[in-house]
Amino acid sequence: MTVLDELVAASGVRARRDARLVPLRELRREVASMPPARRFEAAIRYGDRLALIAEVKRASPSAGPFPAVGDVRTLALAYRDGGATALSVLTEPTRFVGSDQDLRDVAGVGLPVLRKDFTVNGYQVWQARAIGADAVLLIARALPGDRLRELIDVAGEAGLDALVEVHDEEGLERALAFDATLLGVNARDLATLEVDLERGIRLLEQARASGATLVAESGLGTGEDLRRVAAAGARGALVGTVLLRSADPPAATRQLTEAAPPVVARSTPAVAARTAVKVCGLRSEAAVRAAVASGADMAGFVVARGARRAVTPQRAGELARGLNGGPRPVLVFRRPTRREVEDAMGSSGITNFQTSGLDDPPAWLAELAAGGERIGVLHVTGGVREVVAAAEAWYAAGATRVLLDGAAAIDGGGSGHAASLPIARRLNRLLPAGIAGGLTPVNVAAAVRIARPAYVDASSGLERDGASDPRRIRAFVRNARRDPTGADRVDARGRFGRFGGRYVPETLIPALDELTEAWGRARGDSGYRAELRVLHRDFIGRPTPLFEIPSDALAERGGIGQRVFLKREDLAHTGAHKINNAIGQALLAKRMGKPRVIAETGAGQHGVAAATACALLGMECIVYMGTTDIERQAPNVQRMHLLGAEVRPVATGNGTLRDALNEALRDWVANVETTFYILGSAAGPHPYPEMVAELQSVVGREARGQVLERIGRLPDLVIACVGGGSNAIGMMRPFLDSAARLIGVEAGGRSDALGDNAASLGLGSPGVLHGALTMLTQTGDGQVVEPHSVSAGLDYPGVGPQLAALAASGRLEVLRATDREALEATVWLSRRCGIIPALESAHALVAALRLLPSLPVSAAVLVNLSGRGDKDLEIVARELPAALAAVAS
Amino acid sequence: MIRTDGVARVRAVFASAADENRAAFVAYLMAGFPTEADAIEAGSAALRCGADILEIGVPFSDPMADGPVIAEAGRVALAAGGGFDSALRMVSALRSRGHEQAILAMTYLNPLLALGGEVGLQHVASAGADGLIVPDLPAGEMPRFERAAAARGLALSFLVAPNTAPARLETAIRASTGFLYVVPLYGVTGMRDRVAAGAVELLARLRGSAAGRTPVAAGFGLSSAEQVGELAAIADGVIVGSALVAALRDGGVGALGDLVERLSAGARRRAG
Repeated sequence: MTVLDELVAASGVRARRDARLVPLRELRREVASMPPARRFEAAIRYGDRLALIAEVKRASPSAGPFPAVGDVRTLALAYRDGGATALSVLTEPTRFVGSDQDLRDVAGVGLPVLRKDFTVNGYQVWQARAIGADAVLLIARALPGDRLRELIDVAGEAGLDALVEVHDEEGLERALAFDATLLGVNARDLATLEVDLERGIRLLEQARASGATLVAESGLGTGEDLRRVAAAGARGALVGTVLLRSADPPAATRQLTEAAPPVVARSTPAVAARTAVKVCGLRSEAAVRAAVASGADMAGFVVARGARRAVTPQRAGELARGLNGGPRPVLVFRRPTRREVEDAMGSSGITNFQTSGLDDPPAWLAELAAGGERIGVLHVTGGVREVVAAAEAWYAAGATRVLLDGAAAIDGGGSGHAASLPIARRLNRLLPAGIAGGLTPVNVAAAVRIARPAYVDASSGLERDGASDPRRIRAFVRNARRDPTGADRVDARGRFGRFGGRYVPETLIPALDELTEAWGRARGDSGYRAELRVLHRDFIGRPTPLFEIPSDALAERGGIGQRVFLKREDLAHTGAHKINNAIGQALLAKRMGKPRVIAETGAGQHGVAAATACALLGMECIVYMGTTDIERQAPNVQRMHLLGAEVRPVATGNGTLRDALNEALRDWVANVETTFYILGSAAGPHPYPEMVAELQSVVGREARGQVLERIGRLPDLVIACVGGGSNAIGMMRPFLDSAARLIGVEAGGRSDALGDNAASLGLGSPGVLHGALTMLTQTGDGQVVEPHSVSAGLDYPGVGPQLAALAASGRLEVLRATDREALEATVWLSRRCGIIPALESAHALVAALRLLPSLPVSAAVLVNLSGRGDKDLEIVARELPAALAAVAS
Repeated sequence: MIRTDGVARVRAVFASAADENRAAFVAYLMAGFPTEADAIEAGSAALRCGADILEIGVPFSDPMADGPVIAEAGRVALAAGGGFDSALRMVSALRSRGHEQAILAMTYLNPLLALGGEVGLQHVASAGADGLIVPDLPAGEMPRFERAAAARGLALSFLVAPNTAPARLETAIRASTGFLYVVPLYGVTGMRDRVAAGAVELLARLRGSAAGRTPVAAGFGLSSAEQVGELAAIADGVIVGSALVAALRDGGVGALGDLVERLSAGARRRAG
């Protein structure tokens, strides 16, 4: 039995044991909720020097133990600082003394990571992804027959790069035949463990013409070795022993990376965080309006002569004016000449175009329309390496995007290239590429989930009876934007991606079940909805207005024409968005026949809202409030008393919001059968995050319609402050399927140090608090740390689980505003626009003003002004001298 | 991998108590309270004076299922730098003093996750603990955790309440490799004057459902030998927490030992 045989056998035993603990089904579900893996192969393929892949291992059968390796994270950081492009981690436990934990520890340093193990089945490939690897090693010799092909395919499906290691010609041929794109050429003979660099170099030279990304492995110790393998076609070199044996690994790494020879660089565009949407073949004003209202990124007008959906360039120009600066118009040609493209651009005024039907990119491509989109269409033929080469050729010729045609037909219709989605997925691991061909509103979500494309494109799938159908356009855009990690919707287990759930004492489970059921019935009930609508209009004062900050005011902050709209939730009854939720839940409590209502409050806004709703509906209301907060927020305590609520002081802990929440939960446990708990934020156990978000979504729905009406398109940015996050999720949910950037602004407080801020998304870590798995400000041993913010409504140590999931998926961008910045923005808005914002809302305004100068002149920004600032007068007065000084400076 | 046989040890405790015609006496103490050293003395005293099982509480910043006594003890322990580590040190110290009884860690989920989740279970087992009780983790919410605990031989005991529906009760019974932890009242931990109304009927019902599958122990709110005796008549085990923590707080290790002695005597059944 060779060493390899022995390692492979042990690996199979481990895989079976692991699969008993975590079955494949669970592993795949976990992977589905993860953000995309870092791009390992792309980092190697598109570097301008031979890329160093530095190896983390504790021992090897050939070299014995490496006693210098202590903390693997420290070693990985040393590699990173020494200039390594990527990391390789040995997780094999028997001969290499590695572990999955080593990989987890290393995955956080920011470089792409290869899991090096003796992977023998698909389970281990999914496991590699689940523990945080970005690429997986497949050893050709250990994977006989079709097993290698199978695992290359599984890696593609799991969103991992597969580094296929070959030792000889036979392995090389198999790897290439099985569509590998990333090859590790190992100079070590696995049977004898002997290294022969010359043999490795001969193999590299043989592999070179395939177009695969080549990595040299074993026996590389000097700059001269690196130059030789680069000359033989390698783009990367895997180095371990020489670094681990050196007395100073960072210096040794630096020395080698500096010695790494330059290689021919291929320029490639950046990969966008999420799938964009192009709707194509538009011929009517109605279709254009639908493209705008649904928030498509691009609108295609076919001007190819003789095509079924063709319009004249002049007509395309007329239609494009209806886009109002929203979706970018694109002229679509088939086998055009340069003259044809230039003429159509001239007569339509559209500077973006797409060409299909060309085998190779035309020489004139780069010369046209600088700044506009130049989209090249690839037609799928051959394997992944061929498609990659074609895409690279288009980008090299000046294309700004490539579109893989025939990639998307997964429903058996269209051109029927069902096998092409996996190719599209693997292509998109390397380069951004759109997919087209047979996409419809019905299949597009699955296509996005499988292929993770840079964008999707459809035309015939949007038509009914031969014409673009506005309803299909809207459905297509909405479904194309379904979040592949599940962050946009709650699942049957009460989770958004991996976040959420129900981590509560068993006593509360029946109450949560009852609430889930009652809420499900109420939201589908026209009587409940009608009652809520009337209260929105007559009691809360909805719709709240949309106010545009005057351009001369924005000019003071660097604005040159960008537009900023404030959604005036400060004008809602009781002075904040909180009432939307409180009314909805109080109405539900009444339907459920619960006579007693409890609530928690921090700053007192939610307490006042709950007391208000209960006063209207004639219900008993008890509000838990920390003693510290009672002192800070005396006016709100008086309001609650006046409204007939009982305020129960909570003296435990720090006497703030989280203590009030803990106490409210204790009350609920003790009185669960008679009591309805009106939770104030989109946090807590399921169904609260879903229910509160839905009740607050009225804010975003109104705003979406108001902005569309005001400027003829949707906003480019939507900004809200984030504490627990109910105003943010309420504003953003209706924009999840739009092209808008969504930005959550957390309280940066005094500093980024733990306890000096309330930035659970930006600076926290995952954990369980108040019934949900979410992001928390906490210590390394899981103790929740009291956050700080000048704004009492933001100083919550957790955050709603859906926002945690959206941040993890990349859909939500997270920024921080400091206390000082928030105070400064408060003063500015008060004096410049006559609106005194809540300190919470001022955080959102800070981000808008900060980003303003960097935005295109045509940008439209929507800010949720979630509440008014009367409640903060005392704090502002106390802090005002400092804030004014900040304004002056 | 160190593999404790916590499940067997916990089950053996209930079996031998039953043989002696008594309910097993389960004592709860907070790690690091009043100090780390005194907590170890207290644990040792409890095990000497009649506790069959010792639950060691892990201090947590947000103890939402605890009443004032235990919450305050946790706060004191945290302020002195306590956490999961101090609880594990307490387990190790008791083992090195030769205590062979079952020892369980009672922790909120978050400190356990911070310990590394399933990986962290290894530390729990290595310290010599036999199992875990996680009051904010309902059975079935984290199946991987349950399987990982089983693989390490750690006994899990899930909580059920008077309002627990039959299907969930079944889930809890199946998942409870240690015992079924019955909370016979609505509310948080803490002493009550009398056993909750309906507790006896509830226990009788649950014990019927769990019969032959997992022992049933009742806790939350007990403070006198009479109350212990009332429940011991129909439960396999009786759990006392706040009353012991209060005794330790007010009278030190000696007072705690006396109380354990008195209460555990109450767990003897009068009629066989």
